[in-house]
Amino acid sequence: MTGTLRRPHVIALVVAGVLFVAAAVFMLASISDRDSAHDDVVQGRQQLAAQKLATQDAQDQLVAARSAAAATTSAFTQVVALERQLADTMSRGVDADRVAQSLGASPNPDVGSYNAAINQANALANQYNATIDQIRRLIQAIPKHPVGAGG
Amino acid sequence: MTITEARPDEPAAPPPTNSHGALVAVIAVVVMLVAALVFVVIGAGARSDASSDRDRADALAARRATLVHQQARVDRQRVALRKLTDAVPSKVGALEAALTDVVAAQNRFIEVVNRASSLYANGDHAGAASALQGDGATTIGQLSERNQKVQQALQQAQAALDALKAAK
Repeated sequence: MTGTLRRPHVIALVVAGVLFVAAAVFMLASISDRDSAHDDVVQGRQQLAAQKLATQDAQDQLVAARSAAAATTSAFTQVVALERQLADTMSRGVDADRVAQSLGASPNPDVGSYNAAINQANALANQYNATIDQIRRLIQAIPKHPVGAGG
Repeated sequence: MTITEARPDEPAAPPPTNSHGALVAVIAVVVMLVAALVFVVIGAGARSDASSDRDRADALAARRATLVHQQARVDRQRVALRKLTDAVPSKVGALEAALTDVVAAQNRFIEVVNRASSLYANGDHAGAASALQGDGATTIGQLSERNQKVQQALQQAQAALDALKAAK
C-alpha cells in the first residue's frame, strides 16, 4: 500500500505513529508512577497507624512508670523517715555504749554512772527495736508490683 | 515476446488504491493523533494524581517522624524514671543492711557487757574491766564504724528519694 501513497501521507503516518507511541509510553509511565505513589500513600498510612500505636503504648508505659514512681515515693518516704529516726536513736545508743565501755574499762569504775549508761543504752535499744518493728510493718505493707513493674 | 505500444490518446488511469490508501492513511493519522491526545490527557491526570499522592506520602512520613521522635522522648523519660524508681528500694535496702549491721554490733557489745557484768558480780573486777577494755573497745570501734556507714546509706537513700520526687 505504501508504494501507492504519496510522500506527505507517509510522513504524516510516521509522525502520527511516533506521537502515538510517545504518548502511550508517557501514559504508561505516568500510570506506573501514580500506582507507585499510591502504594507509598498506603504504606505511609499503615506505618503511621503502627507508629501511633507504638507511641500510645510508650505513653501508657510512661503513665504506668509515673504511677509506680508515685507509689514508691509514697511508700518509701515514711520508711526513710523512720529509718532516719532509727539511725538517730542508734547514734545516741552508740554514744551511750561508748560511755558505758569507757566507764566500765576503768580500773576503778564508777558503778552508778556505768549502770546509768547501760540503762540509757538499754532504753535506746528498746526505742530502736520498736522503730524496727514499725519499719518492718511498713515494708511488708508496700505493694510489690509498683517497684520494677512494666518495661 | 510482444511489445505492447502505449496509447497516448488514453490518459493513464491513477492506480485504484491511491485515493483509498490516502484516505486510510489520513484516518489512521487522525486516529493515532486522537489516541495520542487521549493518552497524554490520561498520562497528565495520572502524573497529577502521582504528585498529589507523593505530597500525601511525604506528609504521612513527616507525621510518622514526629511520632517516632515523641516515642523516643517518652521512652527516654520512662527509662530514666524507672531507673530512679528502682534506685529507691535498692538504696533503702542498703540502708536496712547497714542498720542491721549496727544492730549486730550492738548485740555483740551487749554480750561483752553481760560477760563483764558476770565477772564483776563474781568479784573479778579486773576481768570485767579487761573485757570492756579489749572486746568492749573492739565492738565499740565496730559500732562507730558501722554507724558512719548508716549515716552514709541514709544520705544516699534520701538522695534517691529526693531525685525520684523531683523527676515525677
